[in-house]
Amino acid sequence: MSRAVAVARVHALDVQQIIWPWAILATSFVVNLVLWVALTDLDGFEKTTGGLLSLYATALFVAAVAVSRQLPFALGLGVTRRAFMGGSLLYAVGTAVGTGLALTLLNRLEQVTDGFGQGGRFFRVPWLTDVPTYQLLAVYAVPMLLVLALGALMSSLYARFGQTGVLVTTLVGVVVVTAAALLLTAADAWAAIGRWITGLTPQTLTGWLLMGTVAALAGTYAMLRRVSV
Amino acid sequence: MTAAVQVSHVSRRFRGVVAVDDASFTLEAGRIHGLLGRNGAGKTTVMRLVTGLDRPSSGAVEVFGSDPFENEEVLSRTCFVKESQSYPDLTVDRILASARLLQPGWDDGFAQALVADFDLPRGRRVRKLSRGMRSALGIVIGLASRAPLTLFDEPYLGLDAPSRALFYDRLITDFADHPRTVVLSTHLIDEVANLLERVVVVDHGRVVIDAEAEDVRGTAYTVVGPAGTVAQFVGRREVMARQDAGTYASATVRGRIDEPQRRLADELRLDLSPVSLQQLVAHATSGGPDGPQRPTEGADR
Repeated sequence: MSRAVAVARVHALDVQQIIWPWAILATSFVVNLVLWVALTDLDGFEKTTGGLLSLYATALFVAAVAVSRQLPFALGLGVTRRAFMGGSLLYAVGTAVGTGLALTLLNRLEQVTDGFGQGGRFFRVPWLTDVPTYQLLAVYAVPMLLVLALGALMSSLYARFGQTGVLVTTLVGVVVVTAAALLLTAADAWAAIGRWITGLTPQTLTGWLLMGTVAALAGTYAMLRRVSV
Repeated sequence: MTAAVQVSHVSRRFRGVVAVDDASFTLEAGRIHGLLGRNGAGKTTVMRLVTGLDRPSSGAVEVFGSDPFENEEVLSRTCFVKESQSYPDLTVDRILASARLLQPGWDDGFAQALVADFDLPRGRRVRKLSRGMRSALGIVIGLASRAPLTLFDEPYLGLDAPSRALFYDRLITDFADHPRTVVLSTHLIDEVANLLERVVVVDHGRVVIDAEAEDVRGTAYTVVGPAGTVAQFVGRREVMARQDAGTYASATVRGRIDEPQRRLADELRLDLSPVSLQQLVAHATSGGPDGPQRPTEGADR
């Protein structure tokens, strides 16, 4: 356990893991703010944006790089794969919760300033964050944990099977999705899928994402459990 | 002597390639070992098996009495410094702070002194370090960790001779105060010959020598003189290598220099000199500087 905590602290020393996603998000935010001010008189200009996505996309990439760099370093210093995974998970959960708290605060700030005086919605994602304030933490944090887990999964696939492994997994993924789409068409089930999607609430979606996270973590564990570095 | 590492009949195969072939040897606690051999002989694979980075295809590895693979108790007492270690892209200071968190025996005062000795730029990112500085960083980590089992896999790439000398000096000095099991894999055998207490030589994945360095050093000698006299001296002794230069010849003979031989050499006006560890290892591993050498059948019996 103490070894896992040490691994989490080693991750924390790598401040770039935090700085990068937030720097990208800040850039996106400034660009959006400028646009809102510049285009404020345009009729029908809806001041919403997918800019928040940049935080999650960058975090995915950063997590993948972090695992690929930290894993061989930590294992050379006598860390077990188990301790590495435990410590990394601890750090990822911390990151997700921290992100959730920060975004909740920014969400509230955007609310009270009426979209930073511009009536814009950057942190208040339409539909997704239209939930009671106490639920915001989960709505922001779970997708963060998901992308961190997916980044780790990608990295661990590479560590375990190399380039071929990543390629094969991607191909298999494409085949499975295509086959599923064909099956759905054959079964005339698209309407049902549509109903399922429209029936989703931010809460149930978050639940599904959490399950996806658990699956990605299980995959990562399977890959790294016996990996040689 | 207690064993820190016990490798028993270990093989490691990668898709038809046998990297380690039925290797057995012991690393003794509190001693400095040389793991020697040519490129691709299997040195790195052996160290990866010992540190649990990889698992043997067959055979058993025991470190401090148990299987090192995923063994927290064992691994927290080991430190492995690799030639091409990949680091997170942090500053030197933060890399050292990371190592400090992961190595229970870490001595930060010693680490700081070594950073100063090697003139490492603390604030510089690892990516921006020169090849030699990177190697120095690995050496600092390996030494300051004071891990009961410390392995260095050719840690000197890009390091100049004075820096290498500094490494050997700090290693031997710190080792005297804090004995631990050290494994040094290197090509520069002559440089470390005096440091090594035991040598394990691997060739094509097999252990060909596993002995006290002192015992290996004296196991061959070179005799130089007029070709005819050299031939007369050598007689039926086992010749590991022979070089002819016109009327002069030099022969490397297996065995120890003893008093009768020395007297005979004096009589014949021949020059006798011991063979260095480096030359012996080259002979033991096929394709040394003199090409493959096999003992002559029936010689020196």
